[in-house]
Amino acid sequence: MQQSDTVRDAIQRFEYLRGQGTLLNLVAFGRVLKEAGIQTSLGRMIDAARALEFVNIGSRSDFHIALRSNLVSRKEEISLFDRVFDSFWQEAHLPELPSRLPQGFEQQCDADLG
Amino acid sequence: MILAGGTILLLKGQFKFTIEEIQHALEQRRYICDRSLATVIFLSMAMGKPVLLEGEAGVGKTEVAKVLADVLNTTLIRLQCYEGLDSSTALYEWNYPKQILRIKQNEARRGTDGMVEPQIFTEEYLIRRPLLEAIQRDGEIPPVLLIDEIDRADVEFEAFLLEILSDFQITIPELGTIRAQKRPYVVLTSNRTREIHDALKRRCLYHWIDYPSFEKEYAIVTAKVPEIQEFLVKQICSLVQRLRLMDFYKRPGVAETLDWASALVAMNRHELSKEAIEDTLGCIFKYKEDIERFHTEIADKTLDLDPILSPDATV
Repeated sequence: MQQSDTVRDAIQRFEYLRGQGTLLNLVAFGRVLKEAGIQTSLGRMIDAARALEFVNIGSRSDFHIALRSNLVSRKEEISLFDRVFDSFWQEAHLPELPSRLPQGFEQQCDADLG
Repeated sequence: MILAGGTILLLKGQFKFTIEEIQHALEQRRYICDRSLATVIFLSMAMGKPVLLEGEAGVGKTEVAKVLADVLNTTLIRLQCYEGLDSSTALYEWNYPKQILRIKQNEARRGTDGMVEPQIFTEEYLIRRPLLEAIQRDGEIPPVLLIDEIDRADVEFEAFLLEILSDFQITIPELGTIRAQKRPYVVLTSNRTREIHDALKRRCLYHWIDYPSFEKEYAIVTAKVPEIQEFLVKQICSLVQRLRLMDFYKRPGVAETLDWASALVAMNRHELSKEAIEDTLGCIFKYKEDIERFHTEIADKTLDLDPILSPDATV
């Protein structure tokens, strides 16, 4: 439970890096991993970014393995990595969560729709 | 690009294949693999980064390298690690007896050949061990270098290996520096008897090979032992899956399942019985303690064979 809170907090904290392309998203992901307890290094991050050039990042599972094989090197870290991956990249694909809609958005929509 | 028979053709060292093609080619070699493993192998080739495969004994780690060499139609160079393995055994040695003979020969001719030293430290007197072999081999397709059970080697050897895997070059004082024309494809395996140093791990793509699911193991046995009856495969796989949940000193891996399946086929068995299991326990367990443990579990009824043995067993 506590673990998932840490991950959620970290995801929010590095929110500012996101929405500016895959590379910065990846950097933010590396930071979140670190907070969750998986040590990353610059070399590993560079390799992870390189790996993404070779796989179809439209395929979530290939994207997942390309990052995991570069960023994880202990069996014990796999399930933690998978959980962080799921919560992090899920949000990346859903940038417009209701909680983050600007104030007055709904009224604006109503007005636009007449 | 993929040829009939599943050989992957490398064009001028460029990889021209996809993850699907790798998975398919491995399957044609009867190596059933997940897409995740195929992806890691694909990335390893694309990025020129070694793969570190970890997993329990007998899940098919070594097999990956063998099948890969076959798929690429290239040589497999294997370095089996063990305690006390040192760099000279892994890299190169001078052929002392041959050198001595040459010196004697020169002496007999009263040294008319000039200085003997430049003559006996040449490639002719060099014994190539696996790592040098892998670096020096030139061909259209680089070899697959398998460094098997790295966890059994000493930490010093690991440090030495790290150096080799960074540069793929070797300096022999008497001969100079030898550099790989093309980097070999490197596969390292570990049974995790100890943790590999992080510096070495960082150089590798990591993949954990788990025990297969029932469905996957079923597919593996059917592919590897094609003459086996369907019902027997189901029985074998469900029992092995069950045994893996228990606490044995050495749990049966896929290698054990395959041994067992082949033994039962050789004995003309079409289904399991208590006697058949008893006769072939040596295929499943490698330790006397585990066989005893198995008997105790049966006697204590903590392991019930009846659901697996009954003719209408559904899995």
